[in-house]
Amino acid sequence: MSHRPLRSVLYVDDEPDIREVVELSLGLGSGLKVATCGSGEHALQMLSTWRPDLILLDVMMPGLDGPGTLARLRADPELARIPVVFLTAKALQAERQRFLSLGAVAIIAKPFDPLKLAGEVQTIWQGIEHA
Amino acid sequence: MPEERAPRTDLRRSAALENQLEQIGNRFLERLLPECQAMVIRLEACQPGSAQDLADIEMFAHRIEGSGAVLGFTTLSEQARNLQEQLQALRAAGSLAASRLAIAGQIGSLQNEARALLAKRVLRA
Repeated sequence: MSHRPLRSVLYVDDEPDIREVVELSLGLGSGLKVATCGSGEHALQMLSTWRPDLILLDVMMPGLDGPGTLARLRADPELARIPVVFLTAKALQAERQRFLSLGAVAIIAKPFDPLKLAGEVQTIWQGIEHA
Repeated sequence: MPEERAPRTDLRRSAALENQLEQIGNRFLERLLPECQAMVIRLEACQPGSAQDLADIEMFAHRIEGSGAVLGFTTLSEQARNLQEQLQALRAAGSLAASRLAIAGQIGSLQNEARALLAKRVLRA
């Protein structure tokens, strides 16, 4: 397992407050380049010109939701290899196995602790087998 | 000593992060007050059985539940979850008629909690 450092993250969530919190937590807490957007559709647009190391996806979003966005990513050979982590409310944790079977590499439960998020993301990244 | 530098940097980062989070929390609470008011007006104006109005108010409650929890406003988040559950039940039943006052009351509770949290923060600052 290689340990290429994590440098950039795209966070997708329709909640602007949570986007701001994640941007701060990962940017200030971990020094990562963090980009955010509010929908699966917008994420796909951004990914046509930029390839982050890791994508964090909210599950419940209006329009293209998290699982729908992941399916679109996996269907695109250019984007299929970018690891995806789902963030989901604890109530949906029962669906954890389903999310993993769709191809997510990990699940982070919401609400998360903003002061610990960067560490959690780094731990997930270190557990991923990088090509 | 180099060993001491990293923890100090971590502490500074953590303090800066907490400070920024506090500011995001304040903005969230300040925005919530007029948003609650707008939801009550929407509720009063909507037709009994209007699925779209109920869905929009439910989405509002979902947002407050999620953002409130991440920002550390536990009571506010729980109140929003209760509102969301009640709206889901009403949507399933297809009628709002008997519950309009109860829902307006729950939105009012959210507004009161936001006001109280803001007041506490002003006193602390």
